[in-house]
Parts: sequence; C-alpha cells; structure tokens
Amino acid sequence: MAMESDSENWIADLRATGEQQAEALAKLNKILVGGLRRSFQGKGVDQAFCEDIAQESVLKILEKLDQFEGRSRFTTWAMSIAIRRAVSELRKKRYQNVSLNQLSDGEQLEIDVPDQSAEQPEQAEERRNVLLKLKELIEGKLSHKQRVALQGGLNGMTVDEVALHTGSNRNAVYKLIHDARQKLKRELEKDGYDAPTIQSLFS
Amino acid sequence: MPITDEQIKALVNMIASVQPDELDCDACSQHIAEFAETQLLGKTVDESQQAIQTHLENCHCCQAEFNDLLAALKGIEEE
Repeated sequence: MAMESDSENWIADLRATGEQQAEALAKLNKILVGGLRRSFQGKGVDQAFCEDIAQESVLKILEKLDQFEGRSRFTTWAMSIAIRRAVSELRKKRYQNVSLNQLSDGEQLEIDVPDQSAEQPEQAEERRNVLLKLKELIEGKLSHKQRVALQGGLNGMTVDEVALHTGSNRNAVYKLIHDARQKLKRELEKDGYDAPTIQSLFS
Repeated sequence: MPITDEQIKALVNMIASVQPDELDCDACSQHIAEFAETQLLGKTVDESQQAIQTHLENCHCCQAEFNDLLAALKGIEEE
C-alpha cells in the first residue's frame, strides 16, 4: 500500500540520526503526550503518567517501525500503540481489586433445569430440552478453561479482568470464549436447535 | 449457585451470534488505527472493515480501547 508522504517523512526522520532524528522523536513524544492527556483526562491520570507512557511508546514505535504498513497515517498508528500501552498499565491498576468471587473455578457454571411447566407447555418443554442439552454440553464438551472464561463473561467481567486473574491475556481469553460459543452452537445445531430457534425460545 | 435467567439469555445470545471467522483481539488491534481514521473521517465502513466493527461490538475491552484512541486522535492536527 502506498504510504502518505507525511508518513514517509516520519519514517525517514525517525530512521535518521543526529538532530533530524532528535527533532522527530521530540515531536512524536509531544503528540503522544497530548493524545494521552485528551484521552485519559478525568480518569485519574496525571501528566507524569502520560509522559512516562509516551516515552515508553516512542521506544516501542522505533522498534516496530518496520511493521508500519501505511494503512493509516503514521501518527494514528503511533497513537494506537501508545493507547494500548496506557490501557494495559491502567488495567493492571484498576483490576487489582476485582473480586475473585466473580471468577470461581468454573464449576459454578451450572444450569438449573426447571420442572415441566403447565404454562405454554410446548415452549416450556422446548426450553427445558435446550437447557438440558446446554447443561450436558457445558459439563461434557467445554474445557475447564473455557468454563472459567465463559463464567467470568456471564458474571460481567471483561476479558481483560478474566485474563488478569487467570494469568492469561486478552486475546487468549477472547479465543477461549469464542471457541466455546462455536462449540456450543455446533452441538446445538446437531440437535436441530439453530440460532433463531434458541433465541426465540429465550427472548 | 445456578446461573440466572438473565445469564442464560446472555449465554444463548452469545451462542447464537457467534461467527466462525470473527477477528480476535490481536487481529483487531492490528487494524484499529485505519478503522479509527475511517470513523473520524465519517467514511462508510467497507466490507474489509466489517469484521473489525463486529469484533468491537463483541469485545468491551477492544471497544473501550478504540474509544480511547478516538479521543486521543481528536485534535491531533493541532499538535
């Protein structure tokens, strides 16, 4: 993909040496600090935090210059790296106090199947069948890690929170949950319960 | 304790809405800068960016990070 000339200039300046590089580094640092301040003001973040993150991000950006493909402007790409770093740092602080009660060992992902109901007996029976199947699938087809991740999600935890408490990372937890959802969907479909059907049963 | 009726409904929706080719968080992160520019310029999300939008709708963490990026980029021209 063709790179915008402004982005090309950034890359050239940052790859240069001496004063040319120093000026580019200072300019980039200033842009990142400004962006971080705009984004996190009022969220308990001070100037020192923004400056630290910007400085660390500039080093990271220099390391990753070869990975810039020009799909966005250089400054947008650089800012995305700084934001990710800031979010990661803030997440560590914010989630230190999240209760582990929200994330048990996954054994609590238990589905209570109600007795047969006299009201709308056909629909109630169908719902009951789906719940029985779901219960069987969760217990028999999902891994322990998948049950834990899914339970965290159902308890309102974000993937970052689950990741922090399970020593994992956002992407791995997202994939665990995604794979669990796919597995459950496939297995339910085998029994004739497609997506619209189960959604209408529990809407 | 068994999960609640609301959680069952949420679980059913999670199952029903899953797509086999969903982007994961790492892939979303690689494209988030260009997607942010699309949003800021008010351009229509094209087919190639649809997967990013879907991931952001499904992942609160990536959505929050995306919102932070948008806020940071607003005003970058004046820097």
